[in-house]
Formats: sequence, C-alpha cells, structure tokens
Amino acid sequence: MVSAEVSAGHDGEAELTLSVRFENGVVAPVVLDAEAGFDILAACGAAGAGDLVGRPWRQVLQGLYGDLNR
Amino acid sequence: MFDLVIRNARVVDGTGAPAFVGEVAVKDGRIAAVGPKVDGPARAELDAGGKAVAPGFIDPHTHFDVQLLWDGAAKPCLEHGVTSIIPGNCSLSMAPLKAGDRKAVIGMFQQIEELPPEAFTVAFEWTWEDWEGYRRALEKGLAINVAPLVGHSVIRLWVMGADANQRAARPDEIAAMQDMLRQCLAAGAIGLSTSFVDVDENARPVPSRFAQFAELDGLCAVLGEFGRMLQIVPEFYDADLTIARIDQLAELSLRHGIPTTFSPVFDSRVARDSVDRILARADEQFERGARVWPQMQTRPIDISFSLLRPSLFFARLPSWVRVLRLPVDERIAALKDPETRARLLRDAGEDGGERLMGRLVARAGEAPTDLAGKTLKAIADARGQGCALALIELSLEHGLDVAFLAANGGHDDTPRIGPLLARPRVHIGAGDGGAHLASFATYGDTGYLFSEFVRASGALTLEQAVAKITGETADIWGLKDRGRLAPGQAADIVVFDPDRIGRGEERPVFDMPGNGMRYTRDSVGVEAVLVNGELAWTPAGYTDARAGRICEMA
Repeated sequence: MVSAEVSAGHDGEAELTLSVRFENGVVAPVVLDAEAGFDILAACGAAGAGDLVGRPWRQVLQGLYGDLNR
Repeated sequence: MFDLVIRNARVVDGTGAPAFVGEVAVKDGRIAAVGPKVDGPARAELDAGGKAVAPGFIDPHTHFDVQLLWDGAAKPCLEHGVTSIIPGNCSLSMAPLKAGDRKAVIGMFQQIEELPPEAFTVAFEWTWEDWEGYRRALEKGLAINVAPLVGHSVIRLWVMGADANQRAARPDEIAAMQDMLRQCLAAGAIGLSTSFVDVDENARPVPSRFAQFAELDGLCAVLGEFGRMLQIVPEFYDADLTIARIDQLAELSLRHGIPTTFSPVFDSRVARDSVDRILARADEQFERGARVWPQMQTRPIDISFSLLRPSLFFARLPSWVRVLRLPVDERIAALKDPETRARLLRDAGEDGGERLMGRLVARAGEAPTDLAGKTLKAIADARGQGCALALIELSLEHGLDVAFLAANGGHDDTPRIGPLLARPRVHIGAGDGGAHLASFATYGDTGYLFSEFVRASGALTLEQAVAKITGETADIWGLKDRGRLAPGQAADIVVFDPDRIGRGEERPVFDMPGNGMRYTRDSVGVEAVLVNGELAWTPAGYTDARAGRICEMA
C-alpha cells in the first residue's frame, strides 16, 4: 500500500481510500467503508491510516476475510 | 386566445441555442408560440422582468416513489424549478408489489431513503399491487410530472418471493419477470432500474444483486421491445468494476437497442484518475454505437459523523481510532478518563485540534439549537476550549449524538468538475432527491449548477447548462414533448434570475410523516414555475394546481 487517505463517500460517510501498487507497477485505489476500514486497521495492528503505508495487500485481505488459507 | 403570455423574457429554450429577448405563449397546457414577439390576446400575462425563461428542469435520479403518495409536488423539487422527476431508481419502486411483500420493500426503502416508519403506515393507503394501480394512486394529486422507472428488485420479489434475495432465477422465472416488466412498461413505467451495490435494512444485498447475466439480458430484451432505459448502480467505489459494468451495459445497449445510464459518478481527490477512466470508457462505447450515459452530480459531497458511530474521519488519529472502536459505554468512559483524554488531545495537535477540526460545522438537527450551523472553532472559542476538547465535551453532554459536518469532502474541485459536467456525453443528474433524508439535503443541485459552474467558473454557458438539464435529458430518456420551449411542447416553464439562481443553506425540517426530520434546501433566484401551463410555485409558495402528469414517452 503506497498511500491511505480519508475520502468522502457517496452517502456522506468518511471512507478510506488505499492506493495499492501491484507487481506490474500499476497503482490503483481501493475504497473501504468504515466497517472494513476499522477491521483492516485492527488486523494490521495499525494505529492509524498512516501506518498502513508500506504494508502488503495480503494484510488487507486478511483484515477483510480472515485467514486466507481457510 | 392564449391562456398566458410571458413577456419581457430572456428565452433560453433548452436546445442550447443563444438566448434571446422574447415572449412565450401558453394554451391548453402546451407552448403555443415562442419568439421575439407573440401576437394575440391572452387571458393572463406574466412580466418576466428580463429574467430567464426556460423549460422546466428534469431530474433523472430521484427516490420520491413513496413521498409522491402524500406530496404530489415532491417538495422541494418544484421550487427549484424541477418540473419532471424520474423516481424508481436503484432497483426499487413501489410496484409491482404483492401485499405480503410490502414489509420487505419497506425495509429496503427505509435503508436507502431513510424514511420514517410512519411514511408507510399513516401517510397513504396501499390500494395497489400492480403497476397500473400504483399509477392510479400517484395520479390523484400530482403537481409535478413523473416519469417512473420500475425496480428490478421488486419484479424479482413478485416472481420469486422469499427466494428473490437468495439465488439465481430459473428460466421460467426469468420469463415471468419478462412478462411482468412488459406489463409495467405498457402501463407507464419508462424503464427498468437495477443495482449491484445496495443492501436492505439487514445489510443483505437487495434482490437485483442475485441476478445472473441471462436474467438481465432477458429483461433488457423486453426494454428493447419498447426502446426504454436501463438504469444501474454499478460498484462505483471501484473504477475497474465500474468500467466492467460499462462494458456490460454497452453490450446490452447494442444487443437490444436500448439506452442505459449509470450513477453515481463523482470525483475524488484521492483517486484522481478514476473518473477520467470511467468517462473515457463510456466515450469508447459511444463510439461503438452503444448508449451508456454516465450520470454525474453537481453538488460536492460533505462528510457527516458523530462520536456515536465510529467514523473514518478520525482514521489519521491513532488514539481516536482506538477509543471510537470501543463499545458505546466504554467509549463514553474513555472520553471522560483524564489520561485517555490527554492522549486524544495530544494526538489532535499542538493547536488543540484547530487545524484538523476547527472548520467542522455542528449540524442542525442533532446539535443543540443554539449551536446548529456554527463552526467547531466558534463553539470552542465560546466555551474557552480547544477544538478537540470542545468536540469531546459537547458530544459527552449529549450522549455523543451531536453530528458534525466536514464540508466539501469530495467532488468539490470546481475547476476540474466543471469541464467534466460540460462534456457532451456526461448526463447531469444523480441528485438522489428523496433519499438520504436524515443524512444530507439532496435538493438544489440545479441551482448549484448555475451558481458554481455557470456564474462562478464559467465552465458552461447559461444556454448549455439549461440544455443539459432540459432538452438533453428529455432526449436521453425519450420523454415526449418535454425539455424545450417550442410550439407543441408541454408548457413546463421556469422563470429564474441567472444572476441569483443557487441553493439555500442546508436546514432540517420536520415535514415527513410522524414529524420525521429531513434536511432540505430552499431555492434561490427562482421566480415562477409552471407545470403543464399551470402556475405551480412562486416565491409566495405552492399553489393549488395539480397539473402534473405521468410523462408519455416518445
């Protein structure tokens, strides 16, 4: 993850927009709502959005879906 | 003899042609003549005083399906100059609907539109199940024109019952849905809406989301028989998924010869190229001959939150994140705890949180009356506190239920958005009127188009802006005899001051059934609104005219 920013969603809720750099170099945004955003912060042991920068995308998936090997 | 002649007008006719000083004559609910000078007597005259006289505005994305049953003016749409609305978006409509399925649909409407329960129990009488019956119920008191979509979710519910939000449809069920859609279109529905995003009150996907492509394809085949619109809500939070939906819409458009539209489309500062990529893909599909209209809203998006529910507004502040994730009673205890509070204040910055929070505005509706609309900085100064401390203490004093608004959180970069709105293949809409009632005002987007993108930035001329929300909208949807000032067209007319038209401040009103609250905005600079030749609204208020119609299709 190369950046994590708070953004405004369609319904007026704050959202978390993560920019993810893929192996081919493409950087693409992923938008998370409050529930998913807080789950990911917890799963990554991140104190705040800034702590997500530099983390692997795999940790985000684990935050959303749990153990990926299940 | 004409019924009415509007004289001394700056005629903006909805075609995009240059405005001219002239007159507009009305007879039997239709435009009878337009020109520099209209000859002939009239029963009434209206002096426009040199103000703009334009076709009534058309709002292509609303959720007034329920409100129209007790408020035929869809207030406050009319006073903003909107004379025709399209409800039934996002897969939801009030028909066809079996009596036994009402509870399920009420749940979906309450989730998406935030209507109070009384809106469904005391405000109107359920007299219908099929589309024809709903249409008759609507037609009893319309002051505004209505061009309703039928929702995919309710068609699915009609055919599949409780299985509608459980599984894919069988071929026989798809055929039954096709028959039902055909009946609805024949009875006045102007198209079909579906959603790939929305959820019900239990956070379950709405029925339309369980459809496989064969089902959507089958329904679009029926739309093709009538040449009618498919409206969708794509996965708008993800540009790649939205682009995939654009490609899908293009295939359906080409295969069945139908127009399609998707919404919302909005700009985000943190995903700069998303909207560019989405619009570019829609353009590519237009080049192939498909009709895939992106609907873009004019108004900026505000972030609203309170300490009652965890909000990502605080995602940059680690100590705040920790506290806000606690259960409410523990959260309150933590906010009162001196040690925790010290950490929160330290995290908010050396300026007491002024830079991060000072411009927040206490929202009318939830904030104490004397504080509503004030900035947190002003509130904090009056309390002799820093901004973060004032936010905490004020929230604690009211059980955490004090909402704050961070204005212009997205879609707010006027120099960037103006040219996007001006693009020929961008459909201005997605206002969501009648939805999100308790969260923010969805009214006044047309006024904002003129104040921000015509007067302030000059991204569009007056004529272009009028054409976008009148003639072009009527053409995109295939509305018959609407959207232009020309002989034979319906006499839907708005008189407004181009130098003043805008939107009022957001404010709460308690005019929903059961004294339910919603946010609204008054119009600014609109001076008269006629619907089918009848004066429906002036600054003195709404008239008794009930000249609204279910729109006919070209």
